Amino acid sequence: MTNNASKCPSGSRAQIEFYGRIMANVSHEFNNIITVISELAGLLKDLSLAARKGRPVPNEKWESLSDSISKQVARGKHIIAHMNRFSHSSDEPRAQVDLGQALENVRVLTDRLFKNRQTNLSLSGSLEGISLSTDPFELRRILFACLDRFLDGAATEVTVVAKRQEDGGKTELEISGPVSIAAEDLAGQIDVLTEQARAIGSQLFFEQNGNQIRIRLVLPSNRE
Amino acid sequence: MEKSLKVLIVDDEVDLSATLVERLAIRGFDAAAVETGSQALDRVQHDDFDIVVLDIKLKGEDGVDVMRRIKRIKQNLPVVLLTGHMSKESSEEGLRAGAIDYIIKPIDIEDLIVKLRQAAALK
Repeated sequence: MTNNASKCPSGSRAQIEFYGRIMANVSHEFNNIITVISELAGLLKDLSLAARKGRPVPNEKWESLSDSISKQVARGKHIIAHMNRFSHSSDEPRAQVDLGQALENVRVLTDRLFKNRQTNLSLSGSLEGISLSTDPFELRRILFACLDRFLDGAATEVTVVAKRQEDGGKTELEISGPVSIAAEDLAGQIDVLTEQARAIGSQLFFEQNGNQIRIRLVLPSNRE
Repeated sequence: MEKSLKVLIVDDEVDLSATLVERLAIRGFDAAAVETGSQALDRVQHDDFDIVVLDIKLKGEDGVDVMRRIKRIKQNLPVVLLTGHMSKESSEEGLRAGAIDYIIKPIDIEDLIVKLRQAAALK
């Protein structure tokens, strides 16, 4: 079998891997939603058959099942909206991107990865009105790449602090939490991240104190 | 009167497990549901279940690892795995670790019932 992906230049390969992780995560989430709806539909059928046989089903039960289905549909619609936004992020190599929306987009589409590791992701500081002219897809890729450093199972809490640098029109995202990865492996990953940041005109700084790491991503930005 | 089979469902999708409990009850099973591995271990230790239906991917936990811990408490308790992403590796690992079968989500209730009856017969 020919592995076409392995023939791609390294940048393209990394982009495909990022897209693949998002797709895998989203498809898993959709399968969960479909499974719940499928069981709810099955229960509706079970109860309607029972009602036909003379076993009354209270109105509240129908209403509660309808509410449960609506809840799953809303969950699916939320993911579809974010998936659509993510898909369109590769439309243009450069566009004005709302930083808060891009971060939220990545957070929603990777939410299950954090929940599976019981890692809470919290954001402090406001990103409201902060935008930058950049590659929208690559911005999402580096945001996820930074967060991904904390998905090795060590972190229960990862914090993202947004800070506006008053001089020079830059916004800094400081992402911190514990990791369990070996120092030499981490150093290699940080080198890759630094290159990625440079490619979108940003800077990346890294500090380690024991098992705690702090990544500072400094992005050129405008405030509306 | 035939005794109802006692089934423990372990899944962090609460709406799914609650609905499965109701559907199994309609079909004559005595089903209960929990969300986490530690809740499952507690229930297995204190109750007399005939079979466990366990999601392979619980939040923050590996379902196969939870199954191994269940087997340490009750070695002969049959476990059927639920999976939404059935890779060959995870199914084989689950079967090697002692699961008697697996079900791929979305669930076919009639298929689940056949597997529950087969599993209970092995106990």
